[in-house]
Amino acid sequence: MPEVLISSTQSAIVAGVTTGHVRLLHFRTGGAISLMTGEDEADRDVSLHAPDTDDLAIRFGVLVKIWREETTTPSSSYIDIVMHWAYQRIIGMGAVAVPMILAELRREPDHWGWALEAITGDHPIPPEAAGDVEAIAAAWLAWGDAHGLL
Amino acid sequence: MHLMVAFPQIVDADCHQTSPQDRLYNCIGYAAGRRQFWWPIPGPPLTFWPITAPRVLTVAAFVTAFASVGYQPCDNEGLEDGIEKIALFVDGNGIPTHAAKQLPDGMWSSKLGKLEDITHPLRQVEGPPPSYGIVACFMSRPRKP
Repeated sequence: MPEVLISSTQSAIVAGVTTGHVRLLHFRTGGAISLMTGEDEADRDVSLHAPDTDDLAIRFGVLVKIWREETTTPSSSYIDIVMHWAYQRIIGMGAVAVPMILAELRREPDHWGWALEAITGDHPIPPEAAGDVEAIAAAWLAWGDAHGLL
Repeated sequence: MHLMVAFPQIVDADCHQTSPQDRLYNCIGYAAGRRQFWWPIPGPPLTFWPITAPRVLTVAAFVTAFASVGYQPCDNEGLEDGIEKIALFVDGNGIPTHAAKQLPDGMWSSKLGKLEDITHPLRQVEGPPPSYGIVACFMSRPRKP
């Protein structure tokens, strides 16, 4: 399996992802990141080193990129979207991911309600907004503003 | 994913893209004529699903959901004046995968996940994954002017 070591600039990482087949992400202390290519899902791994803030932002950006690319398919299932492995890893980042998700949500409405609810335990969505991606985004942004996260 | 990869049965000349990619609605909402329809999921409501329908992935639940916007089961896919029809697709396990709606000219229109809308002959999106399986049932309602 080929391995490519890249110094940690987010643009380099994202560019690598857009070329496809980036499957294995190692996040290391000091900002170095290795990307390994491979199709085997079992090879996908993100190390458990405690990352610094820059690492977290890069990790989030890479996972978002992969999630978007791999769920932009003909499959219409909401479950396929929110159960995607990269989306689940964003949830696994915990509370530290919330400001980044909110910033992403402000940039572009998308299906972040499931992750935000899973992490925060809150449900600020009015019943009439259910299913309306833009209205759900607006509700979470208002929540983020009220909690000083934006 | 290129359409021809996802749907090997598609004949290029028969299929046309009719919208840009859009992640804000999906095939169920598109077919129902109400974009807030997404997919039944457990837990607090992030997706709209009619209160009359069970929040499960079964044909019966989807038929009940589409009934809430005026559709009733019908026998066939034939074009009828003043009637609009939808087709519900299922995978090999009978789990709903997709809904397409019939256009006034008899062609069918689908929203492809987070991708674009296309027009296509109905059966050209059938097949094993990532195609949509097979058509399980048809429903119809009076076409709105």
